[in-house]
Amino acid sequence: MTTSAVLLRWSRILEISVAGLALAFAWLALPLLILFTVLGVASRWFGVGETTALYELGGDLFFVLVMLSFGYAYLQDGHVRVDIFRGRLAPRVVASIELVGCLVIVTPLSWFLVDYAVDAAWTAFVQGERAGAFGDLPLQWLVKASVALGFLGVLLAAACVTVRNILFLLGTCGAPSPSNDDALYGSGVGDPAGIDAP
Amino acid sequence: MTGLVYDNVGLLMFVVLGLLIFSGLPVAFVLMGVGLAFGLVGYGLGLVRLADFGAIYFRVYGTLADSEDIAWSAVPLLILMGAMLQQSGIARELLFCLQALLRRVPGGLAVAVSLIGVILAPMAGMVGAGVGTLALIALPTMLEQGYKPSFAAGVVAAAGTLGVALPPGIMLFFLADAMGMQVPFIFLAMIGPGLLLFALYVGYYALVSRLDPGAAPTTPSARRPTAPARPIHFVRGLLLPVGLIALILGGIIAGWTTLSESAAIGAAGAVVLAALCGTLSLRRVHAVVVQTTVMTAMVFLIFVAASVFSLVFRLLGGVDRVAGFLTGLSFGSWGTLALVLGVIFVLGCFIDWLEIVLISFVIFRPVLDGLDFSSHIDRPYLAFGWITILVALALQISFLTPPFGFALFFLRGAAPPGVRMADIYRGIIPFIVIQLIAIGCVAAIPQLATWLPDQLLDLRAAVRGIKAHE
Repeated sequence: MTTSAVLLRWSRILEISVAGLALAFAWLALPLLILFTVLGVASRWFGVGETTALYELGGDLFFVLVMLSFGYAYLQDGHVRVDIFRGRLAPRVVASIELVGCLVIVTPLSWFLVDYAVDAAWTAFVQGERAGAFGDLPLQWLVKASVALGFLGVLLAAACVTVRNILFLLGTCGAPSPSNDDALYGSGVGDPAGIDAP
Repeated sequence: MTGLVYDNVGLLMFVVLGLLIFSGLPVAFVLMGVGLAFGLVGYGLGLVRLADFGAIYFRVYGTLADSEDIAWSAVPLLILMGAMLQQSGIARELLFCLQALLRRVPGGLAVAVSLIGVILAPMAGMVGAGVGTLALIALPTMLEQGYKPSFAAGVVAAAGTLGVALPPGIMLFFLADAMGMQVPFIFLAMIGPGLLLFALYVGYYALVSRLDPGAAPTTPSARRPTAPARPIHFVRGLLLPVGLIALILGGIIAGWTTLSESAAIGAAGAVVLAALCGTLSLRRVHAVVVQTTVMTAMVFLIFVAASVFSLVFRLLGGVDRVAGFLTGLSFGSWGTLALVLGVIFVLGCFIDWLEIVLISFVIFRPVLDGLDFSSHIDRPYLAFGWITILVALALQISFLTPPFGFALFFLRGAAPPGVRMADIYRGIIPFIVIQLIAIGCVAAIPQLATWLPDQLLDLRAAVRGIKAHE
């Protein structure tokens, strides 16, 4: 196997891990978030029991969902750009800008946040910080750790984008990255109007 | 030299942001990167302490974790609801029903398209999604029925952008937060101006179909029914989606449900609706989950990033300088408001509302806070609600304005090949005039916006929130 094939394979594995984690959690969190909130409304209306814990758990699910999805959204090219000039640039220029951006902005930034977030999560773990949501169990560190995991995801996504753009500039990879054509489990996203609906 | 840098480093930060943002890199990364880099510069200059870097991390954690004032978890639920309604094919069914109902109304199909914009586009949230959806489902039908391309394109662009500014769209959510207003207040305050705009649109359609019958044909011979409209279609294609939106807004207005509860009910309702339409397949649900996840990430990464940027900008003294400069211009309250609306309008020609609201309000919020409209509106809370609505309307016009109108490019992207950019530009001009009339009306008669929330909400104790993290 050539070096570029090995690199592409590894970046694919990383991409699938980042995407898989985000989507698996989204499949868990979104239905639960709806369920908890609707249950909360119902139990308040019918005067059954205390609902604060349900709402707090919902808030935590939302928080972790958002954190874990940052890297995945980058791989899907979901983060909004001001592209009035970008659209007119040659693919090689686009790839170069993205490459520089990954190395100079995204990598140090996510490194910085992972570093601080790991500290914060570790402190929460050692001090046994309590989360109201989990029946007052000392699990707040899990929520804080999701910040570290989330920006680790961004870091890995940036690494994949870097590799792909270098390979593109060298001529061994088809298109600049990230691109939303390269759908990671994303089939059907490009069908916003439900045109194929029966 | 050092003194000059020391004084103006905050301004330099905004200039660097302005340049880098056009590199086409994701806006959120640029915001955070510039924030962090200038944090280091500030550290070198002695303006930022080492402990403040911990505050940068805390912005990321804290802006979303402790949201007592605004339940951000409502946002993914609203996005999910919109994605579900789009994927389930409700939009198309809605078009069939409205088309059948409005076939005798002058410019009926145009009215139908605008109604769909009002009902569905708020869910789409972003201008691109709102206009794109309408262009895909409605534009081909309009052209098929002999509508003039320029007129049809104008209708679609206007309808898509109108919806984005209406409740329960997420734009109003973030705008309310940026201005420190209650979200229900802003939702209700937008209903009056929204109805006004809609009425002006319908009046314009009637006028066009009378003066230029070729542009908007109403003759039944020109249209063939695209689908048989049976009562079942009306129930699930029209009554249920409209009822769902009404339930969400009604629950908030009546005080039965909080915002996030309403959003959860809406999301659950959209799933049920898709099941009733027989379009609830695993593949579609997965697409909805993907769409919701990506859009939620996009919205909140910018939100967090803008918060990091504004922290450093504030530490470097940028906010005080710019706010001092703008108030020092002594334009008076009306002049300053017009200036702010003008800048927002220009920005809206290039970028979507999310960046404008989150970035420019770092500067505009203190400037707007200093304005005094007590001779125009008796209570300050109502005055700021009114300003918020004017900002929303200014944003909405800016999306439509050639040559850079943001919505126009999305329309071009999604339109059939027969529609040229020149058609779009020509078609949109009457709508810009209509929008300017509407914004003028709301500016002159604040009650258009403030009357409804004042009637329905208990505002005696209402105070504007100071952004918790400022």
